[in-house]
Amino acid sequence: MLNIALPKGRLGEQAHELLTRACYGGGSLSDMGRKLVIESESAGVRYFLVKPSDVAIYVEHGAADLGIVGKDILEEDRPDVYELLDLKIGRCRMCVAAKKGFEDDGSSVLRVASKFTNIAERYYASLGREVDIIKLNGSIELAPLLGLSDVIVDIVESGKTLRDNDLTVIAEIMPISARLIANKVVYQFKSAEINELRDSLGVVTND
Amino acid sequence: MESLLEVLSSGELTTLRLRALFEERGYRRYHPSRFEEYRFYLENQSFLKNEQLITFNDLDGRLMALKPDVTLSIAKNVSVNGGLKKLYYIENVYRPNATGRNFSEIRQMGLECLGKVGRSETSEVVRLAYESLRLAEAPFRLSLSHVRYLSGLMRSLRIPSQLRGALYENIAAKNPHGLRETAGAAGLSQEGTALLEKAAMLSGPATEALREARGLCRNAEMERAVEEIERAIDGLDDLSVLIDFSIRGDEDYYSGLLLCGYLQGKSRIVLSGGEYDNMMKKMGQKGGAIGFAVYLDEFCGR
Repeated sequence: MLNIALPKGRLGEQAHELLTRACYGGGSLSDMGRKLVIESESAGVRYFLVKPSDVAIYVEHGAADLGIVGKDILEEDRPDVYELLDLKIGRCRMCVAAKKGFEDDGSSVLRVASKFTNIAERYYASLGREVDIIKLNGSIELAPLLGLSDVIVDIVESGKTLRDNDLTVIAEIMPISARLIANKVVYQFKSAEINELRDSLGVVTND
Repeated sequence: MESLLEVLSSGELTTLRLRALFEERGYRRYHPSRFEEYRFYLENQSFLKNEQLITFNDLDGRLMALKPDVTLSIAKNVSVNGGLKKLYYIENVYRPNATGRNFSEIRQMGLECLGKVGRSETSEVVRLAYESLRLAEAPFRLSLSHVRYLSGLMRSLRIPSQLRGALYENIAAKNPHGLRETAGAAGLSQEGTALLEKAAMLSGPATEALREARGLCRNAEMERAVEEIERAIDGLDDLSVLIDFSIRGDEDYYSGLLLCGYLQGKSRIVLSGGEYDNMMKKMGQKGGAIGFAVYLDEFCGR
Protein backbone atom coordinates (compact mmCIF):
# COMPACT_ATOMS: atom_id res chain seq x y z
CA MET A 1 0.00 0.00 0.00
CA LEU A 2 1.38 3.43 -0.97
CA ASN A 3 0.41 6.46 1.11
CA ILE A 4 0.17 9.55 -1.07
CA ALA A 5 -0.27 13.13 0.14
CA LEU A 6 -2.16 15.34 -2.29
CA PRO A 7 -2.44 19.12 -2.05
CA LYS A 8 -5.92 20.46 -1.33
CA GLY A 9 -7.40 22.49 -4.16
CA ARG A 10 -7.23 22.49 -7.94
CA LEU A 11 -3.74 21.01 -8.19
CA GLY A 12 -4.79 18.07 -6.01
CA GLU A 13 -7.82 17.46 -8.22
CA GLN A 14 -5.70 17.54 -11.37
CA ALA A 15 -3.16 15.21 -9.77
CA HIS A 16 -5.88 12.79 -8.68
CA GLU A 17 -7.23 12.77 -12.22
CA LEU A 18 -3.77 11.94 -13.60
CA LEU A 19 -3.32 9.17 -11.03
CA THR A 20 -6.72 7.74 -11.95
CA ARG A 21 -5.73 7.72 -15.64
CA ALA A 22 -2.53 5.92 -14.61
CA CYS A 23 -4.73 3.21 -12.98
CA TYR A 24 -4.17 4.44 -9.44
CA GLY A 25 -7.70 5.74 -8.92
CA GLY A 26 -9.11 5.68 -5.44
CA GLY A 27 -12.52 7.08 -4.49
CA SER A 28 -14.06 10.07 -6.14
CA LEU A 29 -13.13 13.72 -5.94
CA SER A 30 -16.38 14.59 -4.23
CA ASP A 31 -15.54 12.07 -1.52
CA MET A 32 -12.20 13.78 -1.07
CA GLY A 33 -13.96 16.98 -0.18
CA ARG A 34 -15.46 15.43 2.94
CA LYS A 35 -13.07 12.69 3.95
CA LEU A 36 -9.49 13.27 4.90
CA VAL A 37 -8.33 9.83 3.80
CA ILE A 38 -9.56 7.71 0.92
CA GLU A 39 -8.30 4.31 0.06
CA SER A 40 -8.39 1.91 -2.84
CA GLU A 41 -7.22 -1.51 -1.88
CA SER A 42 -7.33 -2.80 -5.43
CA ALA A 43 -5.06 -0.01 -6.69
CA GLY A 44 -2.86 -0.31 -3.60
CA VAL A 45 -3.05 3.39 -2.73
CA ARG A 46 -4.28 5.56 0.11
CA TYR A 47 -4.70 9.28 -0.53
CA PHE A 48 -4.92 12.09 1.94
CA LEU A 49 -5.48 15.74 1.33
CA VAL A 50 -3.28 18.26 3.12
CA LYS A 51 -2.41 21.92 2.80
CA PRO A 52 -0.18 22.34 -0.30
CA SER A 53 2.73 23.71 1.72
CA ASP A 54 2.51 20.71 4.10
CA VAL A 55 2.79 17.96 1.45
CA ALA A 56 6.60 17.90 1.49
CA ILE A 57 6.63 17.90 5.31
CA TYR A 58 4.45 14.78 5.42
CA VAL A 59 6.72 13.08 2.90
CA GLU A 60 10.03 14.16 4.44
CA HIS A 61 8.93 12.82 7.84
CA GLY A 62 7.65 9.58 6.37
CA ALA A 63 3.96 10.11 7.26
CA ALA A 64 3.37 9.83 3.51
CA ASP A 65 5.42 7.68 1.13
CA LEU A 66 4.79 9.93 -1.84
CA GLY A 67 3.41 13.38 -2.43
CA ILE A 68 2.49 15.77 -5.17
CA VAL A 69 3.75 19.28 -4.67
CA GLY A 70 4.58 22.42 -6.64
CA LYS A 71 8.21 23.13 -7.54
CA ASP A 72 7.74 26.54 -5.87
CA ILE A 73 7.35 24.87 -2.47
CA LEU A 74 10.26 22.47 -3.11
CA GLU A 75 12.51 25.40 -4.01
CA GLU A 76 11.34 27.48 -1.07
CA ASP A 77 11.63 24.79 1.64
CA ARG A 78 14.24 22.45 0.06
CA PRO A 79 12.99 19.34 1.88
CA ASP A 80 15.20 16.24 1.93
CA VAL A 81 13.13 14.11 -0.47
CA TYR A 82 13.50 12.50 -3.90
CA GLU A 83 11.93 14.42 -6.78
CA LEU A 84 10.95 11.63 -9.12
CA LEU A 85 8.83 13.13 -11.87
CA ASP A 86 7.67 16.40 -13.41
CA LEU A 87 3.89 16.00 -13.76
CA LYS A 88 3.67 19.00 -16.11
CA ILE A 89 0.46 20.20 -14.46
CA GLY A 90 -0.07 23.37 -12.45
CA ARG A 91 2.35 25.15 -14.73
CA CYS A 92 3.24 28.74 -13.93
CA ARG A 93 6.31 30.95 -13.47
CA MET A 94 8.09 32.41 -10.45
CA CYS A 95 8.56 36.05 -11.42
CA VAL A 96 9.67 39.45 -10.23
CA ALA A 97 6.93 42.03 -10.85
CA ALA A 98 6.70 45.75 -10.28
CA LYS A 99 4.48 48.73 -11.07
CA LYS A 100 4.49 49.58 -14.76
CA GLY A 101 7.37 51.89 -15.54
CA PHE A 102 9.44 50.87 -12.49
CA GLU A 103 13.15 50.61 -13.15
CA ASP A 104 15.66 49.35 -10.61
CA ASP A 105 18.55 51.78 -10.96
CA GLY A 106 20.48 50.11 -8.14
CA SER A 107 20.83 53.36 -6.20
CA SER A 108 19.27 52.05 -2.99
CA VAL A 109 18.38 48.82 -1.22
CA LEU A 110 15.59 47.12 -3.20
CA ARG A 111 12.49 46.33 -1.15
CA VAL A 112 11.08 42.93 -2.13
CA ALA A 113 7.75 41.59 -0.87
CA SER A 114 7.11 37.86 -1.18
CA LYS A 115 5.64 34.74 0.30
CA PHE A 116 8.71 32.93 -1.09
CA THR A 117 11.39 34.68 0.92
CA ASN A 118 14.07 32.00 0.44
CA ILE A 119 13.63 31.97 -3.34
CA ALA A 120 13.70 35.79 -3.41
CA GLU A 121 16.78 35.92 -1.21
CA ARG A 122 18.69 33.35 -3.27
CA TYR A 123 17.72 35.03 -6.54
CA TYR A 124 18.97 38.46 -5.48
CA ALA A 125 22.07 36.98 -3.83
CA SER A 126 22.91 35.38 -7.20
CA LEU A 127 22.70 38.85 -8.77
CA GLY A 128 24.70 40.43 -5.94
CA ARG A 129 21.86 42.89 -5.34
CA GLU A 130 21.26 44.15 -1.82
CA VAL A 131 17.61 43.69 -0.87
CA ASP A 132 15.23 44.12 2.02
CA ILE A 133 12.91 41.11 2.02
CA ILE A 134 9.39 41.62 3.37
CA LYS A 135 7.54 38.41 4.19
CA LEU A 136 3.84 38.50 3.27
CA ASN A 137 1.33 35.67 3.42
CA GLY A 138 -1.16 36.80 0.78
CA SER A 139 -2.32 39.61 -1.53
CA ILE A 140 1.31 40.18 -2.47
CA GLU A 141 0.24 42.41 -5.39
CA LEU A 142 -0.87 45.07 -2.93
CA ALA A 143 2.66 45.71 -1.66
CA PRO A 144 3.99 47.85 -4.56
CA LEU A 145 0.63 49.61 -4.93
CA LEU A 146 0.74 50.79 -1.31
CA GLY A 147 4.45 51.57 -1.39
CA LEU A 148 5.31 48.72 0.97
CA SER A 149 7.82 47.34 -1.55
CA ASP A 150 9.46 48.22 -4.87
CA VAL A 151 8.93 44.78 -6.39
CA ILE A 152 7.29 41.45 -5.56
CA VAL A 153 8.45 37.89 -6.13
CA ASP A 154 5.44 35.70 -6.78
CA ILE A 155 3.85 33.02 -8.92
CA VAL A 156 2.40 34.24 -12.21
CA GLU A 157 -0.04 32.01 -14.05
CA SER A 158 -1.87 33.99 -16.72
CA GLY A 159 -0.68 37.40 -15.60
CA LYS A 160 -4.28 38.65 -15.28
CA THR A 161 -4.01 39.60 -11.59
CA LEU A 162 -0.88 41.60 -12.36
CA ARG A 163 -2.51 43.39 -15.29
CA ASP A 164 -5.62 44.17 -13.26
CA ASN A 165 -3.39 45.86 -10.69
CA ASP A 166 -1.23 47.72 -13.19
CA LEU A 167 1.79 45.54 -12.45
CA THR A 168 4.14 43.94 -14.93
CA VAL A 169 6.70 41.11 -14.94
CA ILE A 170 10.25 42.45 -14.99
CA ALA A 171 12.14 39.14 -14.63
CA GLU A 172 11.42 35.43 -14.67
CA ILE A 173 13.16 33.39 -11.96
CA MET A 174 12.07 29.85 -12.87
CA PRO A 175 9.27 27.81 -14.42
CA ILE A 176 7.06 25.95 -11.93
CA SER A 177 5.02 22.75 -12.22
CA ALA A 178 3.86 19.92 -9.95
CA ARG A 179 6.34 17.19 -8.99
CA LEU A 180 6.05 13.67 -7.62
CA ILE A 181 8.20 13.38 -4.49
CA ALA A 182 9.15 10.39 -2.33
CA ASN A 183 10.48 9.81 1.16
CA LYS A 184 14.11 8.67 0.91
CA VAL A 185 13.83 5.81 3.39
CA VAL A 186 10.51 4.46 2.13
CA TYR A 187 11.94 4.44 -1.39
CA GLN A 188 14.58 1.89 -0.33
CA PHE A 189 11.87 -0.52 0.80
CA LYS A 190 9.16 0.09 -1.81
CA SER A 191 11.23 1.06 -4.85
CA ALA A 192 9.54 -1.44 -7.19
CA GLU A 193 6.02 -0.16 -6.35
CA ILE A 194 7.12 3.47 -6.44
CA ASN A 195 8.95 3.14 -9.76
CA GLU A 196 5.92 1.42 -11.28
CA LEU A 197 3.68 4.31 -10.21
CA ARG A 198 6.24 6.87 -11.43
CA ASP A 199 6.50 5.16 -14.84
CA SER A 200 2.71 4.88 -15.26
CA LEU A 201 2.34 8.52 -14.32
CA GLY A 202 5.16 9.38 -16.73
CA VAL A 203 3.21 7.80 -19.58
CA VAL A 204 -0.02 9.72 -18.87
CA THR A 205 1.75 13.05 -18.32
CA ASN A 206 3.36 12.73 -21.75
CA ASP A 207 0.02 12.05 -23.49
CA MET B 1 24.10 -8.98 36.11
CA GLU B 2 20.75 -9.72 34.52
CA SER B 3 19.04 -7.12 36.69
CA LEU B 4 21.69 -4.59 35.67
CA LEU B 5 20.80 -5.11 32.01
CA GLU B 6 17.12 -4.70 32.84
CA VAL B 7 17.56 -1.08 33.89
CA LEU B 8 19.09 -0.12 30.55
CA SER B 9 16.94 1.66 27.97
CA SER B 10 16.74 0.14 24.50
CA GLY B 11 19.06 2.88 23.28
CA GLU B 12 21.68 2.05 25.88
CA LEU B 13 21.36 -1.64 25.10
CA THR B 14 21.81 -1.00 21.38
CA THR B 15 24.92 1.07 22.10
CA LEU B 16 26.31 -1.78 24.19
CA ARG B 17 25.53 -4.33 21.48
CA LEU B 18 27.26 -2.17 18.88
CA ARG B 19 30.26 -1.78 21.20
CA ALA B 20 30.43 -5.55 21.66
CA LEU B 21 30.26 -6.03 17.89
CA PHE B 22 33.06 -3.55 17.25
CA GLU B 23 35.26 -4.72 20.15
CA GLU B 24 34.95 -8.32 19.02
CA ARG B 25 36.48 -7.37 15.67
CA GLY B 26 39.40 -5.61 17.33
CA TYR B 27 38.18 -2.01 17.28
CA ARG B 28 39.11 0.08 20.32
CA ARG B 29 37.25 3.02 21.78
CA TYR B 30 38.64 6.46 20.99
CA HIS B 31 37.85 9.62 22.94
CA PRO B 32 38.35 12.70 20.79
CA SER B 33 38.47 16.15 22.36
CA ARG B 34 35.16 17.99 22.65
CA PHE B 35 36.16 20.91 20.45
CA GLU B 36 38.49 22.00 17.71
CA GLU B 37 39.62 25.39 16.46
CA TYR B 38 36.92 27.06 14.43
CA ARG B 39 39.24 27.57 11.44
CA PHE B 40 39.74 23.80 11.13
CA TYR B 41 36.05 23.42 10.32
CA LEU B 42 36.08 26.52 8.15
CA GLU B 43 38.80 24.95 6.01
CA ASN B 44 36.74 21.76 5.65
CA GLN B 45 33.34 23.30 5.15
CA SER B 46 32.45 21.30 2.05
CA PHE B 47 32.72 18.07 4.04
CA LEU B 48 30.41 19.36 6.78
CA LYS B 49 27.81 20.66 4.29
CA ASN B 50 26.85 23.28 6.87
CA GLU B 51 28.91 26.19 8.06
CA GLN B 52 26.87 26.85 11.19
CA LEU B 53 28.76 25.86 14.34
CA ILE B 54 28.54 26.56 18.04
CA THR B 55 31.57 28.74 18.67
CA PHE B 56 33.21 30.22 21.75
CA ASN B 57 36.48 31.92 22.68
CA ASP B 58 38.98 29.81 24.58
CA LEU B 59 40.83 31.38 27.51
CA ASP B 60 43.75 32.25 25.22
CA GLY B 61 41.40 34.06 22.83
CA ARG B 62 41.31 31.41 20.09
CA LEU B 63 37.94 30.91 18.42
CA MET B 64 36.84 27.34 19.08
CA ALA B 65 33.85 25.25 17.96
CA LEU B 66 31.95 22.35 19.45
CA LYS B 67 32.46 19.31 17.19
CA PRO B 68 29.95 19.06 14.35
CA ASP B 69 31.64 15.85 13.21
CA VAL B 70 34.05 13.26 14.61
CA THR B 71 35.62 11.75 11.48
CA LEU B 72 37.45 14.99 10.59
CA SER B 73 39.04 15.12 14.06
CA ILE B 74 40.06 11.47 13.88
CA ALA B 75 41.61 11.87 10.42
CA LYS B 76 43.54 14.89 11.70
CA ASN B 77 44.58 13.72 15.15
CA VAL B 78 45.10 9.95 15.13
CA SER B 79 48.68 9.10 14.22
CA VAL B 80 48.71 6.12 11.91
CA ASN B 81 52.53 5.74 11.68
CA GLY B 82 52.44 3.42 8.70
CA GLY B 83 50.28 0.91 10.55
CA LEU B 84 46.58 0.19 10.87
CA LYS B 85 44.27 1.84 13.42
CA LYS B 86 40.88 0.35 14.17
CA LEU B 87 38.77 2.71 16.29
CA TYR B 88 35.23 3.40 17.32
CA TYR B 89 33.69 6.31 19.19
CA ILE B 90 30.48 7.24 21.00
CA GLU B 91 30.17 11.02 20.96
CA ASN B 92 27.77 13.93 20.79
CA VAL B 93 28.06 16.25 17.83
CA TYR B 94 26.41 19.64 17.42
CA ARG B 95 24.64 20.63 14.22
CA PRO B 96 21.68 22.76 13.15
CA ASN B 97 18.51 20.67 13.25
CA ALA B 98 16.21 20.02 10.30
CA THR B 99 14.30 23.27 10.81
CA GLY B 100 17.56 25.21 10.60
CA ARG B 101 16.46 27.39 13.50
CA ASN B 102 18.16 25.63 16.43
CA PHE B 103 21.20 23.52 17.17
CA SER B 104 20.78 19.89 18.11
CA GLU B 105 22.95 17.59 20.12
CA ILE B 106 23.20 14.44 18.04
CA ARG B 107 24.37 11.20 19.60
CA GLN B 108 26.63 9.36 17.22
CA MET B 109 28.50 6.11 17.29
CA GLY B 110 31.08 5.52 14.62
CA LEU B 111 33.76 3.19 13.46
CA GLU B 112 36.91 4.15 11.57
CA CYS B 113 39.68 2.04 10.07
CA LEU B 114 42.74 4.09 9.14
CA GLY B 115 46.18 3.62 7.62
CA LYS B 116 47.11 0.42 5.83
CA VAL B 117 43.57 -0.36 4.76
CA GLY B 118 43.47 -3.30 2.38
CA ARG B 119 40.69 -5.26 0.73
CA SER B 120 39.98 -7.40 3.77
CA GLU B 121 39.65 -4.33 6.06
CA THR B 122 37.33 -2.66 3.54
CA SER B 123 35.11 -5.76 3.38
CA GLU B 124 35.19 -6.02 7.17
CA VAL B 125 33.94 -2.43 7.63
CA VAL B 126 31.15 -2.94 5.09
CA ARG B 127 30.17 -6.15 6.85
CA LEU B 128 30.20 -4.34 10.20
CA ALA B 129 27.89 -1.67 8.78
CA TYR B 130 25.61 -4.46 7.62
CA GLU B 131 25.73 -6.21 10.99
CA SER B 132 25.14 -2.95 12.86
CA LEU B 133 21.93 -2.48 10.90
CA ARG B 134 20.93 -6.07 11.59
CA LEU B 135 21.19 -5.39 15.32
CA ALA B 136 18.14 -3.12 15.08
CA GLU B 137 16.01 -6.24 14.52
CA ALA B 138 13.91 -4.51 11.87
CA PRO B 139 13.93 -4.77 8.08
CA PHE B 140 16.94 -2.79 6.87
CA ARG B 141 18.73 -1.78 3.69
CA LEU B 142 22.41 -1.09 3.22
CA SER B 143 22.89 0.96 0.04
CA LEU B 144 26.28 1.27 -1.61
CA SER B 145 27.72 3.58 -4.19
CA HIS B 146 31.22 4.48 -5.37
CA VAL B 147 32.34 8.04 -6.11
CA ARG B 148 34.47 6.91 -9.05
CA TYR B 149 31.55 5.38 -10.94
CA LEU B 150 29.78 8.62 -11.87
CA SER B 151 32.92 10.75 -11.75
CA GLY B 152 34.50 8.28 -14.20
CA LEU B 153 31.49 8.59 -16.47
CA MET B 154 31.53 12.38 -16.23
CA ARG B 155 35.22 12.35 -17.16
CA SER B 156 34.58 10.15 -20.17
CA LEU B 157 31.75 12.49 -21.22
CA ARG B 158 34.17 15.43 -20.76
CA ILE B 159 31.85 17.29 -18.39
CA PRO B 160 33.86 20.18 -16.89
CA SER B 161 34.20 19.94 -13.12
CA GLN B 162 32.48 23.30 -12.52
CA LEU B 163 29.27 21.92 -14.06
CA ARG B 164 29.24 18.70 -12.07
CA GLY B 165 27.89 20.16 -8.83
CA ALA B 166 24.52 21.03 -10.37
CA LEU B 167 24.32 17.58 -11.99
CA TYR B 168 25.12 15.84 -8.68
CA GLU B 169 22.39 17.88 -6.98
CA ASN B 170 19.78 16.48 -9.37
CA ILE B 171 21.25 12.99 -9.09
CA ALA B 172 21.03 13.09 -5.27
CA ALA B 173 17.34 14.01 -5.58
CA LYS B 174 16.78 11.20 -8.15
CA ASN B 175 15.47 13.99 -10.34
CA PRO B 176 15.75 12.84 -13.99
CA HIS B 177 13.95 15.86 -15.49
CA GLY B 178 16.22 18.26 -13.61
CA LEU B 179 19.28 16.24 -14.66
CA ARG B 180 18.26 16.39 -18.34
CA GLU B 181 17.65 20.11 -18.13
CA THR B 182 21.00 20.80 -16.42
CA ALA B 183 22.89 18.51 -18.81
CA GLY B 184 21.21 20.19 -21.78
CA ALA B 185 22.13 23.64 -20.49
CA ALA B 186 25.73 22.43 -20.05
CA GLY B 187 25.83 21.46 -23.73
CA LEU B 188 25.98 17.68 -23.21
CA SER B 189 24.88 15.63 -26.23
CA GLN B 190 21.59 13.73 -26.18
CA GLU B 191 23.36 10.35 -26.10
CA GLY B 192 25.64 11.55 -23.31
CA THR B 193 22.69 12.82 -21.30
CA ALA B 194 20.78 9.56 -21.77
CA LEU B 195 23.79 7.53 -20.63
CA LEU B 196 24.40 9.75 -17.60
CA GLU B 197 20.72 9.54 -16.64
CA LYS B 198 20.70 5.75 -16.92
CA ALA B 199 23.85 5.36 -14.80
CA ALA B 200 22.92 7.99 -12.22
CA MET B 201 19.39 6.71 -11.66
CA LEU B 202 20.55 3.11 -11.37
CA SER B 203 19.45 1.58 -8.07
CA GLY B 204 18.11 -1.70 -6.77
CA PRO B 205 19.14 -5.11 -5.44
CA ALA B 206 22.91 -5.47 -5.74
CA THR B 207 23.41 -8.38 -8.13
CA GLU B 208 21.12 -7.10 -10.84
CA ALA B 209 22.08 -3.44 -10.42
CA LEU B 210 25.81 -4.26 -10.61
CA ARG B 211 25.28 -6.27 -13.79
CA GLU B 212 23.54 -3.28 -15.31
CA ALA B 213 26.20 -0.93 -13.96
CA ARG B 214 28.91 -2.99 -15.61
CA GLY B 215 27.12 -2.73 -18.95
CA LEU B 216 27.22 1.06 -18.74
CA CYS B 217 30.95 1.31 -18.00
CA ARG B 218 32.86 3.57 -20.40
CA ASN B 219 36.35 3.38 -18.91
CA ALA B 220 38.60 1.49 -16.52
CA GLU B 221 37.75 3.87 -13.67
CA MET B 222 34.08 2.89 -13.79
CA GLU B 223 34.93 -0.80 -14.09
CA ARG B 224 37.21 -0.58 -11.08
CA ALA B 225 34.42 1.08 -9.10
CA VAL B 226 32.01 -1.76 -9.92
CA GLU B 227 34.65 -4.36 -8.98
CA GLU B 228 35.34 -2.66 -5.67
CA ILE B 229 31.64 -2.68 -4.77
CA GLU B 230 31.37 -6.34 -5.77
CA ARG B 231 34.33 -7.28 -3.58
CA ALA B 232 33.07 -5.25 -0.62
CA ILE B 233 29.63 -6.88 -0.53
CA ASP B 234 30.76 -10.41 -1.30
CA GLY B 235 28.89 -12.81 0.97
CA LEU B 236 26.20 -10.37 2.16
CA ASP B 237 22.49 -11.14 1.77
CA ASP B 238 21.42 -9.70 -1.56
CA LEU B 239 17.89 -8.76 -0.50
CA SER B 240 19.07 -6.20 2.04
CA VAL B 241 22.01 -4.83 0.04
CA LEU B 242 21.21 -2.26 -2.62
CA ILE B 243 23.23 -0.30 -5.13
CA ASP B 244 22.29 3.36 -5.39
CA PHE B 245 24.44 5.76 -7.39
CA SER B 246 22.42 8.75 -6.16
CA ILE B 247 24.29 8.63 -2.83
CA ARG B 248 26.46 11.71 -2.80
CA GLY B 249 30.03 12.03 -1.53
CA ASP B 250 32.27 15.05 -1.94
CA GLU B 251 35.34 14.01 -3.96
CA ASP B 252 37.60 16.28 -1.94
CA TYR B 253 37.11 13.81 0.92
CA TYR B 254 35.63 10.57 -0.36
CA SER B 255 37.68 8.39 -2.64
CA GLY B 256 35.74 5.18 -3.17
CA LEU B 257 32.84 3.34 -1.58
CA LEU B 258 29.90 5.22 -0.05
CA LEU B 259 27.50 3.62 2.42
CA CYS B 260 23.99 4.52 3.54
CA GLY B 261 21.85 2.57 6.01
CA TYR B 262 18.07 2.63 6.35
CA LEU B 263 15.63 1.02 8.78
CA GLN B 264 12.01 0.43 7.90
CA GLY B 265 9.68 2.79 9.72
CA LYS B 266 12.30 5.52 10.26
CA SER B 267 12.04 8.71 8.27
CA ARG B 268 15.78 9.41 7.96
CA ILE B 269 19.07 7.71 7.23
CA VAL B 270 20.43 5.83 10.27
CA LEU B 271 23.95 5.09 9.04
CA SER B 272 26.33 6.72 6.59
CA GLY B 273 29.98 6.51 5.68
CA GLY B 274 32.53 5.57 3.08
CA GLU B 275 36.16 5.48 2.04
CA TYR B 276 37.87 8.79 2.67
CA ASP B 277 41.47 8.47 1.49
CA ASN B 278 41.30 12.00 0.05
CA MET B 279 40.47 13.44 3.47
CA MET B 280 43.48 11.60 4.94
CA LYS B 281 45.67 13.16 2.24
CA LYS B 282 44.23 16.57 3.06
CA MET B 283 45.12 16.05 6.71
CA GLY B 284 48.67 15.10 5.75
CA GLN B 285 48.23 11.45 6.70
CA LYS B 286 49.63 8.50 4.81
CA GLY B 287 47.34 5.63 3.91
CA GLY B 288 43.64 5.20 3.38
CA ALA B 289 40.57 5.16 5.58
CA ILE B 290 37.05 3.81 5.68
CA GLY B 291 34.38 4.19 8.32
CA PHE B 292 30.76 4.90 9.09
CA ALA B 293 28.61 6.64 11.68
CA VAL B 294 25.41 5.34 13.25
CA TYR B 295 22.94 8.07 14.23
CA LEU B 296 21.83 6.69 17.58
CA ASP B 297 18.76 8.89 18.06
CA GLU B 298 17.36 7.73 14.73
CA PHE B 299 18.64 4.18 15.14
CA CYS B 300 17.15 3.60 18.59
CA GLY B 301 14.32 6.13 18.67
CA ARG B 302 10.75 5.76 17.55
